[in-house]
Amino acid sequence: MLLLVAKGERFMPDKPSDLVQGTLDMLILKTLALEPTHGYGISVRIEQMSKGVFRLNAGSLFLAIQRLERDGLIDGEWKPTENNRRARYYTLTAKGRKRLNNETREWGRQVAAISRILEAS
Amino acid sequence: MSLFRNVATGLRAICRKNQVDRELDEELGAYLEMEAAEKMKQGMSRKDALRAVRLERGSLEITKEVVRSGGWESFVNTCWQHFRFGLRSLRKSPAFAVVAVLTLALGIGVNTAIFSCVDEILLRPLPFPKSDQLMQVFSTRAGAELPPSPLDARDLNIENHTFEGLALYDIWPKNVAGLPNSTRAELGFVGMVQSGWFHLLRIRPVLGRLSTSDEDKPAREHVVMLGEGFWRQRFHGDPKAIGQIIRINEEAYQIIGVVPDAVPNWLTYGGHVSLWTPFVPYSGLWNEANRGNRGFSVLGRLKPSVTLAQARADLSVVSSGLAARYPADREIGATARPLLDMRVGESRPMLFLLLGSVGLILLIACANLANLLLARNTYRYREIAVRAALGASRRALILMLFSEALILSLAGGVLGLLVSYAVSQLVVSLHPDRLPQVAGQILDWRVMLFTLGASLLTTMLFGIAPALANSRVNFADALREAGRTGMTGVAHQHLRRVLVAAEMALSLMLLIGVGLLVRSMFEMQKQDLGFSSQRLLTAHFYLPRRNATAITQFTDDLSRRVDALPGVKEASIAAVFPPRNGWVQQITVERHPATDVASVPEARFNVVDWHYCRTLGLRLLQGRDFGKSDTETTQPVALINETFARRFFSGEDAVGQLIHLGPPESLLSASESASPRTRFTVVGIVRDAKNSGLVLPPGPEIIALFRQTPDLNYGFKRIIVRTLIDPHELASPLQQAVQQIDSDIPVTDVLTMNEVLAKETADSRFMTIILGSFSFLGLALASIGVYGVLSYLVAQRKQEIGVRLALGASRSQILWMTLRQGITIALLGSGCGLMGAFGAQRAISSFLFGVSPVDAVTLSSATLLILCVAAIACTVPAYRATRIDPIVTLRYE
Repeated sequence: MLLLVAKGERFMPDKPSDLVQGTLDMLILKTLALEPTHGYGISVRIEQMSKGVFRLNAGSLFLAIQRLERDGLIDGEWKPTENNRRARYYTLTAKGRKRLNNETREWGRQVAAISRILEAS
Repeated sequence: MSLFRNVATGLRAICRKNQVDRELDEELGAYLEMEAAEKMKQGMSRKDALRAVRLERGSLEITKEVVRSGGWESFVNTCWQHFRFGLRSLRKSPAFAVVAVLTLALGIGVNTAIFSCVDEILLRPLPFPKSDQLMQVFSTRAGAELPPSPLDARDLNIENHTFEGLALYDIWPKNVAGLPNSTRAELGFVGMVQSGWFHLLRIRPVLGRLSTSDEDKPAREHVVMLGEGFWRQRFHGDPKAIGQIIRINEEAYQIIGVVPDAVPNWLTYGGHVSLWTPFVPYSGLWNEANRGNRGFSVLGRLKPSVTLAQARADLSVVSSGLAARYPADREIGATARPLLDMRVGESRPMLFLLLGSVGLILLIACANLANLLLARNTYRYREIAVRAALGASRRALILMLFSEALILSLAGGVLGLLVSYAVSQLVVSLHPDRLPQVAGQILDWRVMLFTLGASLLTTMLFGIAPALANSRVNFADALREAGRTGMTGVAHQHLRRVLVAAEMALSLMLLIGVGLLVRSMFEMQKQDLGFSSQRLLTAHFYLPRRNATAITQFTDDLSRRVDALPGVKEASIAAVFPPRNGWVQQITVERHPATDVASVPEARFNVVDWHYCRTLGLRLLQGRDFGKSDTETTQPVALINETFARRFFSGEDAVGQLIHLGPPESLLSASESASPRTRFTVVGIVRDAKNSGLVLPPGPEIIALFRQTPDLNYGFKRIIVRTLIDPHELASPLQQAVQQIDSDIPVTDVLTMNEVLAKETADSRFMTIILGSFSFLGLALASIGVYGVLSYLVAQRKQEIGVRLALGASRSQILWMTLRQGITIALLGSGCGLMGAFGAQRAISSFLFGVSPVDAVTLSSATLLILCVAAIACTVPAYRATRIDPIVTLRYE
């Protein structure tokens, strides 16, 4: 189950649509495309880049990470952190990069289409 | 790649649960720490920071649960939990679990065993390549099949256009000697086969070679092929066995090859054949005079794409040609039958009866299981309602019920495997001689899986479906209703009664079947055999390569020795003895000769010594018995049985009449009538003794003296000893007596007459034991059913009974009220069962002797028995009903 927490108001779709689920995966892939990092890093990065619009719940984040890793889109590796703990660092695989490119293109197409519909009338 | 990765991580999560959990903990912990550290940088205390993180990001435990449930392995875990839960809940109701598992196990086990058996005999293709081309070829006379004569088989083989080849064969018991590490001769079944025989079956030698057509000619050096098992056992698989010499019937045979044991025992008439020789049954085999000497088996293989109908048409054309050319073949035709028919043999009705009764068992087991599950689910209705009310999803409920059904089916299946093993051992150990095919059967996994599937389906259908149908109804109502009286699903109760009635009906049918078989056995044993079977020992021996004089000398010598043994009252040597005499000869009563070949009468024939009638206790009705004055030089004499006298000399004095073997002289060709034939003077009439087995009435029989019939004095002899002591004690003295004369002569088939008779009734006994155990099983299941239904009824009506008692009903009224319910079910079931028995009477009639398939005594006593058992099963719950304390039950109310 996917939990997206938008700032100010909680919203919880009781049946996540493919679009929303795909979006989270895409965001994670995008984050990792910039630089390999750990779960917290991903969460912080997404929050920063969205200027605080998206705050990820740990459950949805790690569920998505587990799924992406099992699909072979990202690779995880235990590494020490700055403050002397161990954390799993994730890197994008070649397959993941390809998926990201495809999804970005598709997303662009969909957003353009939706905007056209909304701006009509 | 990613599928592999997915499966691998999932498996890791299952197998190394702790480590995976720890890693998840660590990763989430690090996440939490980093976020908290961030917050502490903004000035929060550590405690506040951690709290804030938890508030914002959700509880760690829930997060872990969410992540864990993401993989496919979580489904496996859920199933495992359900499985364990199912086990626990079954353990809480052990009586239900045990009865359900046992029901399943018995149903599955018995069916698997019997189906494997039937599959082996009826359904599976023969173990030979292109086996549908394999045929058995017969001669025919007036539509009846006859074993062909070698000359006819040879000519059919040469002249037909539809067969790849025909090959004669026969299986003879012979004396085998000269085996390694053995000084004694032993009796072995020897397969005599024409050279093409193994090739027709596509069997190739393991070692050495097969015999050639050249070796089929008599008066050549003898060769023998060993069966592989025999070779391994007796020659320790030594390849040097090839070329060694063994003695068969006191003649030297050189070993030329080893053939695999690929010939099934139904093809060799049940005999376990370990030696194969060329087909040379006797010298003069290919003389034209022996064209009418039928009695051999012929194997054939059709050419590719020839149909059975074409082959039959071809054979009848060829045989009519032979009939026109040879007088001995007049009115003789030829036909073919698929070899597969031979495997089924005469066991077809037996198999169908077995199949039918085992089917009844399956139905009873299913009904019982359905009944049990319905009862259990009625009890659990409340539990299901509570679970649903507390938010269990339909999926979870289905999983719960399914896992329980699965546990039951699996446990039943595993136990069923053991049962089927035991049953198949029982069937194999009991199998009558007529069902040799069964001996080779093993359990069939396909059948096992099929039956397991069937049981799973039953548990689903009756365990889950009704429970689910229930879960649709309003749970609030269900809770209220169930809470008060436990009274739910009136339709269920109705269904349960119908199921129990059906179990009763099916068990009654089985019981009637057993009753009829038992009565037939009694009838069969009660009947007058015509001779006295007590304290009678019989044995078989074979004197090879001796002429008639030598054979008579041997038997005279043996008689003297046996008579001198302590405990012997009387002894006789004969070719055959009652109750079965398969030696049939064409005969001519000289005063009433037949006018054409087709109407030449036949009679059973036996050659004996002087003591035959006295030893067996055959009573003389007229004339005189054989005496020492009847010798090789006097006029041959014969005794006839009552049936013979009635059939051929009705209204005349039989004594003094002349009889000879074969058709009348007038019907024979010049060459045939030239051979001298023995004429017998009838000197006496003896009482009928059984000679066609126990079931059929005796046929006409002639008894002659072998010392007076040198051309019919064969080396196959049987010895019959009337003893003063337990006949078993004379078995080894008898063997020693034979071997004192000639140590190369083995004595076999040493059996008391009671053992011989037991073999005759083996079919019936087999069916009786099998059907008897089935009906016992059915009865037990049915009574469990009645008991269950009634106990439930009593539990349900506790309050009602309490009220009735409080209002003054007597205990006997309560007892009767409860019993009536059970008895109604039993009566209904018995009624249906009786109708079923009437409907199924044809299935069993061929196994019955002297009893009608709707025999009133059997039908009524079986019905009575089942009603009694039902009544007993009802008594316990009914008694419990009378013990109800009105005060206690009303207080609960």
